[in-house]
Amino acid sequence: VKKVAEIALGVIAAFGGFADIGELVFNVQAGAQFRYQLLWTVVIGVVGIVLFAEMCGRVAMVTKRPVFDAIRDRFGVGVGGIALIGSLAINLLTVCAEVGGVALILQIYFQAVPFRILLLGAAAGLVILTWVLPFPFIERLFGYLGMFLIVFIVAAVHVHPNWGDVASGFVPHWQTGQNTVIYWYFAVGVIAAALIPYEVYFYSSGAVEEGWKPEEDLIVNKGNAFLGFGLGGVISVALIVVSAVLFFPRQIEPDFIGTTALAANVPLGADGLLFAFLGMLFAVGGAAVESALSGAYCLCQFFGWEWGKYRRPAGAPRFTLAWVIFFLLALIVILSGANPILITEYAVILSVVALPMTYLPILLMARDRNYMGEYANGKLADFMGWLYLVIISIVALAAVPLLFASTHGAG
Amino acid sequence: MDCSSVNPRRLIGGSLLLTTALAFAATGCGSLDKDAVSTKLGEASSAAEEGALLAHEDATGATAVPFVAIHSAELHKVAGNAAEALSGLVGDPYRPAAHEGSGLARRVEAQLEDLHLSPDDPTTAARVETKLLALASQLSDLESKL
Repeated sequence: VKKVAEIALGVIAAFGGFADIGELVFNVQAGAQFRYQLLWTVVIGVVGIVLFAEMCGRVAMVTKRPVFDAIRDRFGVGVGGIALIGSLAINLLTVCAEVGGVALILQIYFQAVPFRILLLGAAAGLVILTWVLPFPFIERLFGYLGMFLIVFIVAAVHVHPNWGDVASGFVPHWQTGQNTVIYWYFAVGVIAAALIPYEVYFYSSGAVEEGWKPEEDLIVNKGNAFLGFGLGGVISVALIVVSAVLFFPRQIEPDFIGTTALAANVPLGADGLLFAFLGMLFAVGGAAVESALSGAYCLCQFFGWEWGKYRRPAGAPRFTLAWVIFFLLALIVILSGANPILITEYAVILSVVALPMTYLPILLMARDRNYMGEYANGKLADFMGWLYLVIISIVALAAVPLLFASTHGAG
Repeated sequence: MDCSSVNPRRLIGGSLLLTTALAFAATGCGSLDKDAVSTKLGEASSAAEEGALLAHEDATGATAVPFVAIHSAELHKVAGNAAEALSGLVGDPYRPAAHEGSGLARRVEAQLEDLHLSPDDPTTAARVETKLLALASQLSDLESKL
């Protein structure tokens, strides 16, 4: 019973923690521009994150080596260092986007407070929570409260979409002719938003933080990855559906987090707006904490420094300093006037460029029987692992040209 | 694994440089050709349509006043930027359409300002909704004639 409860709680945390500002921006834009046509990309992205997270969790559990430890081991310091630089840069952009996103969300109900004050308050609150709360509380507080995002699933049902059209959106659609570049830009964006790497760095480091053991926690890992992230994908689908019904016919171009809130407000009234506000606040706040910690995890694991929230700050001073600096840099960038939504688009698209370099070493380690013994990949996991390496590599190669050719989706 | 040959400061510095470059790249610019005129008309029309949706929720008391105030201000800025960009067009075959679009975008901007200034007044919200829907329709017509 205790194990079932543990799995259920982990699934809820993974479900509620799945969506971040990337999904809230990209999926709503995708639905507004292309109706249901990009739903199939959610499936590609969600299956990818499930595979990647499950492998990372399993590798971390068996070898006690999270992602960047594995990268340094497999690629060496030179190539691994390039992966580290890319990942740190993307992580910093992500922290900027998420911290700025929290301040934008707070504006929905605290419009009278100047944005910069909200930003300072958001950053200070996130630093305090990260400092004070132990790892499991961080994961669960934001994950559980992020469940308010279920409001978008309710809204998607409430707007009465044509379910036949919705179903047809899951069939891959090869866009040609008008808007081709923008279509593929959003296809990459929706896939990348689901596959954003900080989630996996955080997840695999969490397996070590929580002391998972393969003989006991294999099922917890599978439950979190398959059910938690899988169900999280339903929120991504709902965002596209509700946007397709409300915004596509009106040719609305969602450029604000307020437009995402409106997607719950219109079908469900003021209660829908409140639930969307709470869900977005905790989902994006949780993502800010996770991405800042992920940056610190990457850095410390690569250089072999002491790391972990399970240690007191003085026990892992470089780790603590690193995540505090991530928050501070994010604060400076957003205070300088950078647009968090635009940064989100860049962070999401560019994150997928670095993805193959972090995915490959995990795949190699997960299938290596010398490391993993009886817990190495089976034939299906191996096949899916290689298939996704190909998919991720294609998406990574296409991402930057599409970003510039489409003027980040503006046409 | 020996990491002594790698200077952590260089790696962190490299990451910061890359991030800064990406942040600077997050700005856009473009010329006012047919596509640009169409894009700006689309932006103004989108702000009008979304403003009308927001005004409708406000008029029926189905939203929160601070949300109406902040979101109408955001849309007001979009309409204002579109009007500014369209009015800046000189010596181009699309100048008449851009000029007309700029005027319509300014009217969208004014309606959204009304909503921003009186977010707790359902009568204003209902009037703004009607006017924004009409303006959105005119902007779409203009865009389709380009």
